[in-house]
Amino acid sequence: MPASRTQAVTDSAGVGLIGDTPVTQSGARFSWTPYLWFAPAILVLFLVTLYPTFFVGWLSFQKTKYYELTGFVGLVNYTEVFGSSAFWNTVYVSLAYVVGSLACAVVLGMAAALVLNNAGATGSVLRVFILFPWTLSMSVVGSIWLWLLNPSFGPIPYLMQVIGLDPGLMLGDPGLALPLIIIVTAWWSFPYVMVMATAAMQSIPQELYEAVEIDGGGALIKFRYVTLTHILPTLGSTALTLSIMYLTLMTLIIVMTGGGPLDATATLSFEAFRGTVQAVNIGPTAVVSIVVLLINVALGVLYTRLTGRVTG
Amino acid sequence: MAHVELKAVRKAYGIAPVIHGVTVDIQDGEFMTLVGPSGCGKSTLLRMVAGLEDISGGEIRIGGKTVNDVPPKERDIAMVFQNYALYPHMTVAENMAFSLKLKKAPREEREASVRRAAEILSLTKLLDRYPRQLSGGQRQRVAMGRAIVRNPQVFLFDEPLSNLDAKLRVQMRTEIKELHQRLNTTTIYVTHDQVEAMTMADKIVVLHDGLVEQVGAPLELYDDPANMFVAGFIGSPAMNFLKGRCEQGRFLLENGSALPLPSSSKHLSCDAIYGVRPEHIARTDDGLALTVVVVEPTGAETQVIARHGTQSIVCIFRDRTLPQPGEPIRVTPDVSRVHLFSERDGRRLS
Repeated sequence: MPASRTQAVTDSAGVGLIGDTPVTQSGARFSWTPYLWFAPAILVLFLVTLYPTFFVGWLSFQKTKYYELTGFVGLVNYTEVFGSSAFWNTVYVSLAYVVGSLACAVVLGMAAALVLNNAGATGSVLRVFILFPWTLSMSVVGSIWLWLLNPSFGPIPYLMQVIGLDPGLMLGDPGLALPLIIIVTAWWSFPYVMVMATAAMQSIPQELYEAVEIDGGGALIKFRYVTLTHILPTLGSTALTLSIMYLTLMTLIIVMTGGGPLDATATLSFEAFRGTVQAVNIGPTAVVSIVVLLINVALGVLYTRLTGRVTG
Repeated sequence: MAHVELKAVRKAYGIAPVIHGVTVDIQDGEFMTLVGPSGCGKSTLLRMVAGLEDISGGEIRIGGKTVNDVPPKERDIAMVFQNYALYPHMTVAENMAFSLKLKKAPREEREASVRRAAEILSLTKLLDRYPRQLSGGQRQRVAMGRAIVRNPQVFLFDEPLSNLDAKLRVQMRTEIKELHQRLNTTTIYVTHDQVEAMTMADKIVVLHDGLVEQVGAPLELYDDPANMFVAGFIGSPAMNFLKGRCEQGRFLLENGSALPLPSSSKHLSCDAIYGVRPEHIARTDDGLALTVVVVEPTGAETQVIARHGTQSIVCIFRDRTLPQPGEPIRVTPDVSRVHLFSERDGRRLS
């Protein structure tokens, strides 16, 4: 049986090579069945991902008025968007938001992971509690912090007054709104970094730490040469996942500031959302969406390459 | 090089004692092997010498200095771990030089030390590779190189060959022994494999349940085991133990068959265990009647597992006339190599 199968493979390969493929023989090897099995998945992918993406791409070349297409305008939307200072301000806010939130979440998450990893059973219990913010709906997180930061009756401004600081308008202050949103985003998402970092730390062989001890290194050397190098790939892919999420995240902004004050918290995704809801002319909004898409695709490619390098 | 002394060393985890007062003296330049079954405390003892485990009681001295509370890095020891514990993101050269780097040794000194160790272990061509690019044997060698570079007073090996295949294990065994002969550094080597212990050590310490059963040179343990545990643990295949009674200058098995007693034990009259190694049994025309169960020829010799009543007896024959399974044979032990053990506590009587 195996002999005949080998024979068949050799035959068809030989025929293919000399370019004299009989229709029947190549037809016998081709089957539609696998494609049929794939069809539903491809259809779903097309309907929910590819079609809307292409549609937005097409929209970015159109002029609309309240959801009504008024005609093809070429690159006008692009020149309008890239020429406006408001757009570049939004890009700046987005980048500051993503980088700021990421930096805070990674530092907090790493610190929590390191402390709790050495805390034995207590650590396991505390980890469950710390995970709590991550499990909350983002609109709930936004509401909780709206109350905490309320300049009239919120506990945080009250405590600031008690220790002699002027809380000001808090979320109503254009200079403070973005930093505060960054803090809330980091508070909500650092448990994710902690979980990923903890998982990576727990896979580090204990012997490596012992080898450092014998080689003459202290806690700092252990962290720098064993822990950090070991968890860095995991941390990298976690950071990328979070960046992609932060870039498209707007629930917190909608709940807490509505993009204000004075567009101080209007990110690209928030701008795309606001433009679509107002629907005066969706063309430029589509351009903003395309920008978000391109940045995310770039991050996605980076993520795939990074995880590919880690796993393979 | 240093003299290592363990004085009544004890270890307990909470209220559970695992090492009950071990006293061993390791001479300067000696190769000492700690051997025993899994869970006997041999690795724990080694880790206590390394400073990776606290000492619950007793004293450990290295080079005349008590090190009970001295951190590992100040004990001037180097350890080779079972899983090698190479730093995965560092090259072979960086792995080997790491301890010197932490000591802030100048670059030239580091490079020279690494080069010297790499030459000793034939690692020169692998210096730029990462651990993941090496085979098990090469990783093992790098782990040894890392130890050599430190030029320590004592080498500690924790079952370093147990992750290698049988052939490589034999090869690395020779390499480690050769390395010791070359460097003459005091070495403590932990293994559960008695063949490894026998072939490598100057001195073997047999541990069992946290207690030292016997300390001695390899052949001393083989020829004069202190008790049934050592007799059964040292030597492969293990010694045969037959239950019976010493009476009138003979050893009577439970079914009445008689075996000869060594002249030193002819006066005994008590219940005892008769111990004879498989290689000290010869086929004879008269003697103990056995029925062959399994015949395992290995080339140089043939291992025969036979039965006398309900008792299984392993024999090793060097001649080529192989018995067949089911065939009756007669054997006689070499009476000068027979040991008698107390039935009560397993101690050797003769």
